[in-house]
Amino acid sequence: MKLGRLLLAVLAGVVLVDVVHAEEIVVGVQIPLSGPVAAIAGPRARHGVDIAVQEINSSGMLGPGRTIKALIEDNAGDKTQAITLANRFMSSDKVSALIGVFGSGLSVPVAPIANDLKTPFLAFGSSPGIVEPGPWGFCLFYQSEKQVAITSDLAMGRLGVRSLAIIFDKTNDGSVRMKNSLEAQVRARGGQIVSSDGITPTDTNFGPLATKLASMKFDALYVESNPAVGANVFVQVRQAGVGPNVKFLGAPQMNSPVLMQIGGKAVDGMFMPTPYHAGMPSPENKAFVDEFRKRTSSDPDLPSGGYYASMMLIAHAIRNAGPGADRQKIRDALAALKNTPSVLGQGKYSFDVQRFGEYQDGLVQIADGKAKYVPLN
Amino acid sequence: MFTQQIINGIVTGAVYALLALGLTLVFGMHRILNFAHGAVFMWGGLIGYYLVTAANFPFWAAFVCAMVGAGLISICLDLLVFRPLRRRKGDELSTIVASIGANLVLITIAQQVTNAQSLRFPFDTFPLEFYRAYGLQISSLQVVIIVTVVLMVGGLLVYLFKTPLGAQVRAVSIDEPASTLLGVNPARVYLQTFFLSGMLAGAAGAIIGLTFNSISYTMGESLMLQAFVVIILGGLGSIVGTVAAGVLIGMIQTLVTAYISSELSDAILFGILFIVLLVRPNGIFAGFHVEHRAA
Repeated sequence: MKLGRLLLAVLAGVVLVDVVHAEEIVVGVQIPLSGPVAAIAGPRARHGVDIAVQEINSSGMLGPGRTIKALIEDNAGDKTQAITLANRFMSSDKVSALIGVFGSGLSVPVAPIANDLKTPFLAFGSSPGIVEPGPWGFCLFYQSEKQVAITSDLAMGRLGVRSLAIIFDKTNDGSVRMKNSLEAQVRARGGQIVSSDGITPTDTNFGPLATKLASMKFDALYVESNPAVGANVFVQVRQAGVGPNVKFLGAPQMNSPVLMQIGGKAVDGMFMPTPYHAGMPSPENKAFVDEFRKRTSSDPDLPSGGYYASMMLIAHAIRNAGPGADRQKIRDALAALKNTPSVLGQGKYSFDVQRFGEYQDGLVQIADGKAKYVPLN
Repeated sequence: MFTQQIINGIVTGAVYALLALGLTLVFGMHRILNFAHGAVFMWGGLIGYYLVTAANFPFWAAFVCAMVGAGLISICLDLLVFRPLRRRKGDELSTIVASIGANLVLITIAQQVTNAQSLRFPFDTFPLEFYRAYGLQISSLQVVIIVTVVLMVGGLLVYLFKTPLGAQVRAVSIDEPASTLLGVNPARVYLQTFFLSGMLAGAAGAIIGLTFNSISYTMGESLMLQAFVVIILGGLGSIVGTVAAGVLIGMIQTLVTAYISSELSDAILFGILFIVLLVRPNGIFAGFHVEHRAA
């Protein structure tokens, strides 16, 4: 009897010690699971987060007794909801970091809150407006200008484009900035912008725009929008009579199976630079793609790869910050990440001094209805 | 390019008119401003899509089923939302709020059904051919749209003004208690009107989904804004005015996009609406009714 009580006491002690040492770090994740961009970002991004959490916890990456939990909420692609959720995550839920939100348009309004509440915020975006409010905001991607430089190099270098038409999302701050930057860079290199037209993510009738473009002469059309809308633009532009001699270029965020599903043959031959593609060569990406295929029977795209990468980068920062790290230590560890293994780019990821992501982009070309990875150099 | 853009504008406007007709029909006959009409339209597109992709229906059959399906959804709206409000003597504001709620319910169901994905008809759903002459281009789909709209408007006018059932609808719209004394059952008339309105929305949903290469649970929201402009400019309740205003708005939007700026098309459109309402508060085509409209 005494022996039994002794064993019970020892067992209780072990459990107690385990409880004391167990540390669950909560990361807030905002994904547009409903609303106008849900079709692009929603479920696929969520798979990326789920896979990352499973990998982090099953590998013991954070150290003994430490696990990560993703608190996933739907911001519906709406700025007001994104702000409300960010406040809730940081004030009530006491998350150690926030990732996602999706797109610069939603992330820029959230960045000042992250700074006020001193919470590391790794945004799925590339706008200076995310890092300008203070040291707690990080951009997963390059600065817009650097992304645009890759596009203008591709167009005016590799593809020999001299005149360009642009269609952009006039409701998205990041898209407008990219458009302005691309116009400036093309003109600076002696190229001509023949037309620049704004659309919205809910537009479906591009007939008038397509007819206008069909009456003009230019070498390439660049579309800066989400893949569903962009694909529809390309389809209607081809139907209006713009011939195959006009090359199609797209923004990085158009790298999605949705582009081919909706665009069909119209998007064949199209190019876009991308920070992420399922064909990128790093071992981290190969493992991620295998797991993603097991779960979804499809290849990951930019939202899934980007959300997975964000979660893994935060996990690296939490590990490096050590047990019991507060938000300040996690922020500092995130800013200090250099050459960290990642699925983005060629497999190594850092933050620059302005807290924008640094990696080597790749290119995607659509051929026979499939997005094929093309090394940049 | 100008003539080509005029053709594009007429086609776009015809589609707006098709969507707006159901809206103006219910308002003209029963004074119900149905904000759930855009969701019924969206469901027309979805029904057509799923019948083509999951049941291998030819497009024409899916189109007819989409019309009937959307008509039935519209009937459900009357039975579950508007009729209970009528029984309780709900005012216009409560009807509007109830229809906004119904709209959200229908959109949320569609969001779950589609998994929030944008869908499109398979590329071979409709044999798309382009006819070119004198530098102009018109597609087989554009021809079908124009013909469909003409047939539907004609059919609607014939139904309302040349059939006994249409006479009952007009009688209820003029004086519901008096029509009851004459043996008309208003409840059945409401169902007829809602069914017709839903059928028109379903037709527009299937056609727009095919023409604009996109079907999504949000597709009704942006187009409903255009539809409201159409019915206001056309004179609330006027069928002919709705068609004329639809074509006019389609052309304005198209020409502004082509010759001024796509970014200004909405601003210019709503600016025109504002000016028109200042000058003619009942719409451009008020008084241009060849049909009866409830006062």
